[in-house]
Amino acid sequence: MRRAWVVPAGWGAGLIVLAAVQLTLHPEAIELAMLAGSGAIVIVIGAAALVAERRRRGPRAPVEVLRWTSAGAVALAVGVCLIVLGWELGAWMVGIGAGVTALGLFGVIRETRTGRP
Amino acid sequence: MSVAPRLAPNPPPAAPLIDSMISVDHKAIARRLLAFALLFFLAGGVMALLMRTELAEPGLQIVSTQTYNALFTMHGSTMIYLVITPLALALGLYLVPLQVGASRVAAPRVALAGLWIFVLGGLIMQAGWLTVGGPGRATWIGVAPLSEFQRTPGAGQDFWIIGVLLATLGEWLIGMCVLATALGRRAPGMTLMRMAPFTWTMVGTTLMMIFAFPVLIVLMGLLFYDRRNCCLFDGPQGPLTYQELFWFYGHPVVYVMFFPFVGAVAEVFSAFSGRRLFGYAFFVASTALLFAALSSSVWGHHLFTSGRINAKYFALTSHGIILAAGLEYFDLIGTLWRGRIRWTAALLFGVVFLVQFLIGGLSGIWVASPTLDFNANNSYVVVGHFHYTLFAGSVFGAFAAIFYWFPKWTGAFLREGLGKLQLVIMFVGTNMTFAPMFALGEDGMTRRIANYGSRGWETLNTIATVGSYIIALGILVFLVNLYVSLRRRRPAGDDPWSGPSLEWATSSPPPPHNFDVLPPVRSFAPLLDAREAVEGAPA
Repeated sequence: MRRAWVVPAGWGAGLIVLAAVQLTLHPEAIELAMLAGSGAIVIVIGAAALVAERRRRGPRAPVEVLRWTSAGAVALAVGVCLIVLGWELGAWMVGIGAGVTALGLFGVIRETRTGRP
Repeated sequence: MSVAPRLAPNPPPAAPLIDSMISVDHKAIARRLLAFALLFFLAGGVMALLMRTELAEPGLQIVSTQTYNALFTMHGSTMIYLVITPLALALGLYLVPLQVGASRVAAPRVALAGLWIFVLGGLIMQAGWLTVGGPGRATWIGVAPLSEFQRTPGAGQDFWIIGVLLATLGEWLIGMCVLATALGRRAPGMTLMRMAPFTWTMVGTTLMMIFAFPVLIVLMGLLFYDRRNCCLFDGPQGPLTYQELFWFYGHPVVYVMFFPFVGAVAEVFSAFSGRRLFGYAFFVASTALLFAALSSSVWGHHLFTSGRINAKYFALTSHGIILAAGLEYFDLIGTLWRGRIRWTAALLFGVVFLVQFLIGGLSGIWVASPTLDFNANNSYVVVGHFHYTLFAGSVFGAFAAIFYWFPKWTGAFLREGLGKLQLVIMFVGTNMTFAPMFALGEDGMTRRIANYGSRGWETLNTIATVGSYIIALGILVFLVNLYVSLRRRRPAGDDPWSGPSLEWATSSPPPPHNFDVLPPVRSFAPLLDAREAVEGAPA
């Protein structure tokens, strides 16, 4: 009913058409692949949205319970940043980052069990 | 009146400061994003002033060549990765859920994680200033092989790469939340063709982000690997492959930094002319579909002089953008035509945005033509062109948005008089700074040089430097306006401008669940519909 899939699917098709125009102008393989590949990815996203729409039955719950805050999400973000920073600073930082990420994941899972989303 | 889906908010936060930093309310996340973008804007602005001061006269006066290299690298990186892109996303994150009548953003925890990944990425990038060799200095595109370890040693360049990777990842996460909200969390009655023009521009923006941003994220990972190991971007094709991949991100991002402000100006024009957006369907088709698709297929024009790319194709698509941009201009001007215009600061910023972006766009035709681009490549023509699009264009559009939606965000007006003063100062400063660059570039001045020697370029460079300080004065006026308006509040009410779209149907600022009740949605301007139903006079 929402037809959200139309937008990415249509837009992805547009990218593939634009990529196809290259075929008439002696394309470089990398350029053709990048644009057509991107179009294909967006079409796949559109298809996934279509499947999700078809599976959804009935209206949304009129009342949703949303936590005011999410410390877990912030911990997850900090953990990811520490892991990437660990590429520069060393394995010890990657280890700390992995620990913080795990804590964040645990927090997010706990939050989702107590309320959606 | 339909009742909106409601959230059941938790009890009020016990530690307001910490809780506001970890809030999953899209409005709080957007406010943080906006605040950090403005802080980075001030930092990037100081870097620009240092560069312009150095260029006021030939010779080296205040910084070394190496520091100058760091300044232009960090100025460009700060403004692109940490200011204008997040500014655009902050507007989308705040407004799209409101405009589609949603009670929250899709995947709010992802948006919150995106915010902090972005912020930490930005701080890591700036931390390069604290390292022994200084920050990244291999241009804002981190061009290989200049960015390889042998040519740019030191931790600062590594921090730059990590910072770009994380900031872009954070922005991508936020962008995907905005897209999912626009497409998947619309209120009853809010069909695709009833979404507000600003929301459509955010859809176009985030569609481009789906694949363009991950390419940069992967590329930064590869570049980091290349600095630690070797040979990914070596050989005659290596640097070109790097640029090909970079610009696959780098050109769409120009439009990521433009579309949301076009959408904002469309809303501003509609509100202050008392009319619906003229040619709504064409606007949607041109912006979200044609313009966005073309924008994703023009990246090769940055490599015309390499001789490697398919010049005919990229010249064709680059010129095709004229059509889509022309439709947008036609729609925006058509909206003002015969409208009951109120000359507010927001509207004036929007008008100046249109005029100045036109200069940026027309000079874009210059560099989109392979033959002309061979002359302009790597010259100050290019610097003038993209500053007219991104600063003279997008930043003025951003101020139009800020003056228009500030009452919604805070419940108070910004001072109109100070806003108009800021506009005049910035208009003068912008054109003094960037117009001389076209002449300098045509005369042969190349970009990214700290010392241009004795070639008769002093006068134009001095004018540009004075202009940059005038811009800074305009920004100072804005900061004073912000301070005064928040200290001595002039209450705005819920809908001070008689706005057309749904965000004006709720309180200012909106409650955590956004809406208590939603008006019926029968067009892309539901509040205008409601007003006309009461007044009985179509606009």
